[in-house]
Amino acid sequence: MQCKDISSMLSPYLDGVLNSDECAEVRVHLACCPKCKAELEELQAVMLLLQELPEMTPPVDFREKLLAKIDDIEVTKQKEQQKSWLTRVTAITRSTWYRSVAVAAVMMMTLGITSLWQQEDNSLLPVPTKEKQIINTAQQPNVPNPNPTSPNQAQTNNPEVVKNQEPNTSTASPLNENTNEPGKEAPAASNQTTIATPAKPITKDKQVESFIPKPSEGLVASSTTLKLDVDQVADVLKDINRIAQNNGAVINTPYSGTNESGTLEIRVTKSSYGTIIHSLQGLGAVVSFLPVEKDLSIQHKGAAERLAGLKQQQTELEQQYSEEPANLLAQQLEQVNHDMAEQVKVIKQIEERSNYSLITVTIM
Amino acid sequence: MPLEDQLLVERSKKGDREAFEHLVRLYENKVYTIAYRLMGNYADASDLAQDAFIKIYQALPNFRGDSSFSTWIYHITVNVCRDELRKRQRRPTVSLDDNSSENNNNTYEIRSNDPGPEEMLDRSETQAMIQSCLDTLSDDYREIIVMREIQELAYEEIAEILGCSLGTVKSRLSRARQALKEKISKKMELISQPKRLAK
Repeated sequence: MQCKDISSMLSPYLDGVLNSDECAEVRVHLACCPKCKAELEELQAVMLLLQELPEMTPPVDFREKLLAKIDDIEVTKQKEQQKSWLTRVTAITRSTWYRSVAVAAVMMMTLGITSLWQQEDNSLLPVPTKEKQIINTAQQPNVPNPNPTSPNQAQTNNPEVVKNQEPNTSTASPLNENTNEPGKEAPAASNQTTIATPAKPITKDKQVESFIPKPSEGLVASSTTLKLDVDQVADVLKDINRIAQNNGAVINTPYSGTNESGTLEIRVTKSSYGTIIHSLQGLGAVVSFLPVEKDLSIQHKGAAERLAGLKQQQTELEQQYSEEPANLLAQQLEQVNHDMAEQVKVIKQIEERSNYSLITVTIM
Repeated sequence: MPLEDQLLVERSKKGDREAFEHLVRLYENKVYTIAYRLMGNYADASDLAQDAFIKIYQALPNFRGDSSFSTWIYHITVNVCRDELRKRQRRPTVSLDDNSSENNNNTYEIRSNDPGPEEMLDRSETQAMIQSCLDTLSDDYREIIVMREIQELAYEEIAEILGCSLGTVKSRLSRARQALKEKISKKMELISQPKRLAK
């Protein structure tokens, strides 16, 4: 055997992984070749040096940081689980069949109740619109009504009868909802004001009144920072636009930068986030990928609680106002209604933010 | 697998955080050392050793005990480092950081392969020289040397991890050792030349 062949066998020879025949060949060669013997000794020395390299100790805060990272992962995992449960429920309530069933159920109930009213000689049917507006403007609170909501009495257009309407029925509320058509029946109403105490109409926003906040749990603001090393920035920008378009995403902040590097921000729905991130990561070498989730539940809960407090305040003021329609009460009520509208706006913003993710893409 | 490892692994699988922390304490030096020998600097070693432990934590429920726990975690550590080295091969010059300045949103932090002052202080001269020789080897050679000399893996284990034959392990390890030996010899010559001149 030549030195070249033996040289390649020295390493496995030192590790004792050669078979007995190969071992014997190496031994025979080494006995008569000082060059290969010297090489074996050098190799042995290198291996010894490597084995003598000390075991190292990580930085003092290594374990602490690691366990904190693991805690973060656990928290994110729990949130994901909660979210997936919520997503399933939301998906059901948003599904077409669920809506259809709900609409059908409401229609059935409406038809059922209406047919009952008709069978009962219309005694519960609502007051016709014309009479209703007369009642609205001319109603007198705190007067007991011996014969409530009789359309025949309302149709008499008699102020004495009108002022005897039940103050707590919905048609007799002094508070106008902004869906009414003010002024249409103004002359008729003005005729009544000579007898009934005028109540200043308070503007109420129907959307604010009917707004119900979502559950606060699991609301998060997701944003991700993705840095990509790419070959051609211009080509990748086209690809990003294509990915965004195909997945219903929106370029929130257009690309700002040079032909070499720059940043843009994409707004994506939670459902398409996974697909988009995967596609974006395929556009180049991922330098960094940092998904962050900011918890919005506390902020949302606080806003919802404030809204509930305002709602309670509104009910109390309305009660007082219906008993004594003073200007000061009207002002307070206007203020509360305004505050409620503001609070609803805040809650809607928080809820809206939790519906999408922002991806900041830096390409270079 | 040692009984202590087995108990700790079983407890960790059931979500016992203390047991996992104990496992980390037992293996952090070895994992960190492997990462350091493969990456050649403290910052990367620390980051990648943490990444390796996070992978270990996440994959623990799937650990069936076919191999020893130590072999399994060293395998994961090597894979984490290999992935990182491959990523860097695509962009061999720099690694980036997220610092920003007024005029430029992207500033670059260049990590050199040369040992920094911190490293130099901690290392003896010979150890520093060996590490710098290791750092200049190709990723494949450095990897197989770390597996054999630092992790003390058998040829069969290395073959399994790398997904190659025993013959490939034998020849690659042989070439890697030769290459390292040559680099060390050259360094030794450079070190001894000034001494000879001084005489």
